[in-house]
Amino acid sequence: MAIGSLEMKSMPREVVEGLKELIGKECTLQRIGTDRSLFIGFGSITTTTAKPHAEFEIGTYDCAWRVFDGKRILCGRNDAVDDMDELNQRFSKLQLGKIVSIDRLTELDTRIEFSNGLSVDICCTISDDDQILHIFLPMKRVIRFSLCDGWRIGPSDSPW
Amino acid sequence: MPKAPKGAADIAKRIPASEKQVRDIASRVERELGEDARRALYDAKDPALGDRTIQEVLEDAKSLYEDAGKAIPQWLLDRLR
Repeated sequence: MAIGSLEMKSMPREVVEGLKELIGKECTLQRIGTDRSLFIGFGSITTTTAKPHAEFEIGTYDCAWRVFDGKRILCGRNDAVDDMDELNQRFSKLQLGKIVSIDRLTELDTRIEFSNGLSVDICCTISDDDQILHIFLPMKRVIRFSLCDGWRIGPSDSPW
Repeated sequence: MPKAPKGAADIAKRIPASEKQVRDIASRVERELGEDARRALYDAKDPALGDRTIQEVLEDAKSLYEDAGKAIPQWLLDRLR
């Protein structure tokens, strides 16, 4: 079970340790927001918030994402749909399985590989210093990846 | 005749906030309140009403500061006027 390439190992140790917590976790939540944002959750689901969220949750608000099976893109942020419910339905039906690895496709793009042979790629498509992706972890922690700060981990319930 | 749901009458004249506006507010909320709050800002959107107006996004942001027991920042107060 791998975290990924040599480049990933140059990120802060505590980020790598946080990512390792996800390896082997079964996907329990998959949804697309009405703005095409991505939410993939693992572990227990909480329904006390306005929308359901998982104990571990990988997501992106504004960057591109796609689901890839090695040959074809099965679903992507920019799929033409009549409404977001259609995109959400399409994404939710995919059986991802357990996380096998979290890797860098490039310096800017991240691939999450799953046990059912599918990958979710999150690609940096913004040029400012906003986050590219986030990974919520238990105990109010979050990993954040951005162009300006790289990979960092910190509390999710307070400013850094 | 059944009453139209709240907000329905205004849909025709609702101008959605731009992506840039939403991201600017969201990133400020993240910087000042944390990631949980930013996610809550996105959660606050009611899909039945479609994209939020800038006023609605600002009001949702304001609620987050209030929920956190923090003073409403000046940048937000200025935009809410």
